[in-house]
Amino acid sequence: MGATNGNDKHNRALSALMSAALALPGISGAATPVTKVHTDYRFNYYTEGDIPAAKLSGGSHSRYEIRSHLLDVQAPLPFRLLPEGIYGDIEANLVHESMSGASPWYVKPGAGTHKQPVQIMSGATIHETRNKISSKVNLYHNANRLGLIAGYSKENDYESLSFGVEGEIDFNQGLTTLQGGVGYDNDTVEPTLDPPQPQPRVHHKTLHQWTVYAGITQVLDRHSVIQTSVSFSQANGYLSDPYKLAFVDGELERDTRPDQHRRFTWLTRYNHYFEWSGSALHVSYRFYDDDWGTSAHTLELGVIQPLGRKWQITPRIRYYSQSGANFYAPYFPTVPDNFLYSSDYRLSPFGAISWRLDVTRYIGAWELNLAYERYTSKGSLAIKHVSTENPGLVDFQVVSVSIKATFD
Amino acid sequence: MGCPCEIHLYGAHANAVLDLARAEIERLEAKYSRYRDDSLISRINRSAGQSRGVAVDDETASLLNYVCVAYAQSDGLFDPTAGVLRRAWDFSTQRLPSQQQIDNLLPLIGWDRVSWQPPHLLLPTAGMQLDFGGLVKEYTADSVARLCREQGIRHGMVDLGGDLAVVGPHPDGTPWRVGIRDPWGKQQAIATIELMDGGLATSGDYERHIEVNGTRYGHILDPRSGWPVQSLVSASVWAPRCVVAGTAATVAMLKGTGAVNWLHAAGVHSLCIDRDGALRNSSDP
Amino acid sequence: MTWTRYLLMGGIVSLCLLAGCAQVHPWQRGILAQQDMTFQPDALEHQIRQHTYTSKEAATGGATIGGGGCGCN
Repeated sequence: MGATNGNDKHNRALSALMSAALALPGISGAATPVTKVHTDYRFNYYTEGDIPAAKLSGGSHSRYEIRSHLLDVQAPLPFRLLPEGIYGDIEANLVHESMSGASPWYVKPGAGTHKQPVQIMSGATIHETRNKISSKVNLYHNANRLGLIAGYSKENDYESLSFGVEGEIDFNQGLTTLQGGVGYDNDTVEPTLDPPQPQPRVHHKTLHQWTVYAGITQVLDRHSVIQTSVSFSQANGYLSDPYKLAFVDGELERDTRPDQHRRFTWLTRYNHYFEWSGSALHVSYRFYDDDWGTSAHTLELGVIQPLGRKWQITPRIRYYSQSGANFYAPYFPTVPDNFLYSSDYRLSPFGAISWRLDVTRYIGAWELNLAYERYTSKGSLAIKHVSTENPGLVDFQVVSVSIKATFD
Repeated sequence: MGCPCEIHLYGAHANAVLDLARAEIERLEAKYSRYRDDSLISRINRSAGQSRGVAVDDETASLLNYVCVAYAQSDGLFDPTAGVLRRAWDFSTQRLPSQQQIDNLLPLIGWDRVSWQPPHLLLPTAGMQLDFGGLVKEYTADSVARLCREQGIRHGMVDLGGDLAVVGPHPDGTPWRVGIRDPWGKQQAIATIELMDGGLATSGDYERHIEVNGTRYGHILDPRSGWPVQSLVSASVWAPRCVVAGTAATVAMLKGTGAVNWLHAAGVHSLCIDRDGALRNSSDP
Repeated sequence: MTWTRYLLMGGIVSLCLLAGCAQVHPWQRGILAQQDMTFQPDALEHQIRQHTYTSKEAATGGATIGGGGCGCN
């Protein structure tokens, strides 16, 4: 509370008083529920790179193309519906996705002397649509929050119903926040006929998953904040991929994974604001480990950089590395003792790097965003040496556009 | 609130929102009025001199934090402990207090003497008093305006005895026109201010005063000396929130001859009327 | 995989962070309240990006719930 130089632009009495005034509950509204209607629309165009000829042994060389439309609307809940001292808001989120293209079917030993594995892709091009709706209701008391979530997703062969409860409690005058939540998911798989599968066919399978997470957010100083959280999930039921096969002892067998999956994630995020440039640096590190033998590290860096009052650019870079699952191999010379096998590239050891650039323009209560991202995965990018990379590893590009608007 | 209050709202459900607004005004008055024995501020004042002090709620804590900033930004002039000077100065008479009377009160004045360790507030000496008079009416105006906005009212204005908070302009987009009173009563308004948003507060020294031997002693008292300041006649300040406008207007009156310079450096928009009747503006260059 | 070991690591890191914190007054929190200092400034972008990575990699998003499942291949 020392004396300030009244002529120093940064210490002007007005900004000091306004900052203090905005902390008054009568002015900020005690909690931070939404007080206006926010709408957000995003179109995301995702394309995978063709599979290189040297790695392909059959089927289509082109891969997936996905067009996603996302819409999110948030609005305050009317005062009169809620008890005194409680505020609230409601959010609806819609996703419409259409996918076309071929996907990896199985991997087999190649013709060369080293029998480098090669990919067989599904032949026909599939067209699929996925629709998802989910809703969240938030209730606030002082700066504490309770969230209730429900969601439903449907595509040709897959249906998912999910519920969740989450909360945040503020301590230390808001400098420390504890957050946590529980989620439950119940899914049904009814695979279509394409690509052809060994008999007996998979008709109707179910799986369910429980997830629980807990975290702490801590304000470190006026310019920085850190958050760390852990999550545990357990899934039971049909967890294999009904469209994929594995080459086992010369025969094509159905992709067979355990019927239980336990996963652990530890995510730490740190944001730092640089006053001289107005930039916000975002750093995050995520550690993943599961009981299928896979562990993974993800490191992401991004800078949100305003350019004047109307523009903003956000360059980002992401590094990812994962180890292979216990029951993964490109192909299996003999039948494994536990009869578990998968040659899905997503369970193989590999590393990936992606970079992304977002450009945002602010116009009144509107915000327009254009983004481009490029992702590449290779065995040689992984932290630990990978002797044989899966031939189906994917590279992709994303072009994304979004519009946001706020209404009174 | 002890003043004429007017709330203008547009909207189909404006009447229901008015009820909420009235409830909020009553809530804050019951909590912070020094005229009510059962108010929180009276309870705090009765605790002066006791070693334990009072544990305050979140809203009061943030008001006290705000006072810390206002005290620092005004070089000690904005001081809610200065209300005790009322015991020496009686503007209904034409008698000046003695220096002894003032000297007896000075040890009870000074925000830096108050112990504020959130959430514990301690007024260490018996007889010390907190007066939120320069704060609560403006904070109430802001709180009522925010409440109206949250209820979906987009056009309106809250006027609590001259402390204004705008909810939004008129539905046709035109601003609220507010007249600044002519201190000498010769015209209806000496100036008109147009408001699209934010808050307006006016502090004036054109009524109660004591005149002795041709010297004018106004009721704007310097907390450091206990004696009146040679102040402006009035200062009207606009800021994004009424509570900040009110603080700046109060400080401007206490700054005396340095008022306009302080307002200019503070970065607020203001209209000041000085003793010669001249109007002086300051705004963010 | 030893979960207790990871829990302990997470707990220790958290306590270390809390121990080293400066006092930040409410009137100094303006910067932290800005949109670009929150952890998910663009919620839909975060949603679609995490969905894409989760479909192509083994690791899950972590630290949130309510994603739901999909037959993403």
